[in-house]
Amino acid sequence: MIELPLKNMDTGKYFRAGDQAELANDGVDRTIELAPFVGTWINTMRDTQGFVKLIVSNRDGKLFVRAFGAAAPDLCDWGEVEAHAFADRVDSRKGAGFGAHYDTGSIDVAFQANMNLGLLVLLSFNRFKDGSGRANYICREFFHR
Amino acid sequence: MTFRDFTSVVDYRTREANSGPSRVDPSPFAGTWVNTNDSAPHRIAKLVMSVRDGILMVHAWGYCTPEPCDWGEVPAEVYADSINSQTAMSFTAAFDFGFMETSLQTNLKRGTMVIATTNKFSDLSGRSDYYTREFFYEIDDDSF
Repeated sequence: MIELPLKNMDTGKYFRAGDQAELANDGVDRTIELAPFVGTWINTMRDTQGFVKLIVSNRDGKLFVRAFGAAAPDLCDWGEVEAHAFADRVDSRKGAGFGAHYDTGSIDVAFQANMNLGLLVLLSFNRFKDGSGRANYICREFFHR
Repeated sequence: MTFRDFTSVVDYRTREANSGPSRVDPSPFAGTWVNTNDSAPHRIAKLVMSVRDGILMVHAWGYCTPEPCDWGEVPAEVYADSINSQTAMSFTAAFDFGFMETSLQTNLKRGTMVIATTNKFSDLSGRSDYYTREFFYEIDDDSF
C-alpha cells in the first residue's frame, strides 16, 4: 500500500520572507514552462564577436542550449548543454530565466539568461583556467527570436 | 590554441599574455549596499562586502521580519569587463542553505549594482526554482 503524503500547511524554511509558500504536496504539476525560451535566438548585433546564435530546445521536459560563437568561415559550434530553468516567483510556473554552463578545459563559461520584453538577455561569466593571465570577464548580449 | 580557448574573438591574443592567474581588483565592490526596492518580500535587503587577502567577501541579509535574515559570509569570484581590464565590475557568489541554494550574479552599472539571483530548492517543498533581478546602491555607513 502506498502511503500518500499529508497536505503540509508549513510554509517551509526560508531566508527571505518571499520564499514562504504553502507547501501543497498535492500532486499538482508545477513544472516551469519552457516555451518562452525555446527557439533560435540571434544576436541583435550583426557584427558581434561573441555568441552569434543560441538554439534553445525542450526535450522530454528538459531545457537544452546550443551556442555558436563568432568565427570565420563558419561559426564555432560550442555543442549542447542542459540548462536549468527558473520561474519568476517561488509560487509561479512562468519561465523567467535559465542558467547553463560550459567548461572547455581552459575556459569556464556560466550563462545567465533572462527574458525581457521579447528579448533574451544573456550574461556570460568567463573564467580562464589556463594560467594565461587573461582577466576573468563578463559579457552582456541581446538576442531576438 | 583551439577555438574553444576563447568565447569571443577578442579573447584570442596574438601575442603572449603574462602568465599566471587572472588578477582583477575587487575593491570597487567593497562597502555596504542596500536594495533600492524596500517593499518586495523576496529581496536581498543588504550586502556588506570587504576585501581580505585579495579575496572579495560577501555578507548578505535577506528581507525578513522583524529583523533581516543573516545569510552569512562567502567568498566571491570577480570579473572584469574585458580580458585586458584589471578592475572588477562583476562578481558571482553562492549561498548554500541546505534546503536551497542561492547564486548571485552581479554587475555594476552607472553607480548601481545589479544582482540577479537564481534560487534552487532541494527540500521537495514544491516551490519553484526562481530568478530575481534587484538593484542596489552604496551607502556610507553600516547603520542600515
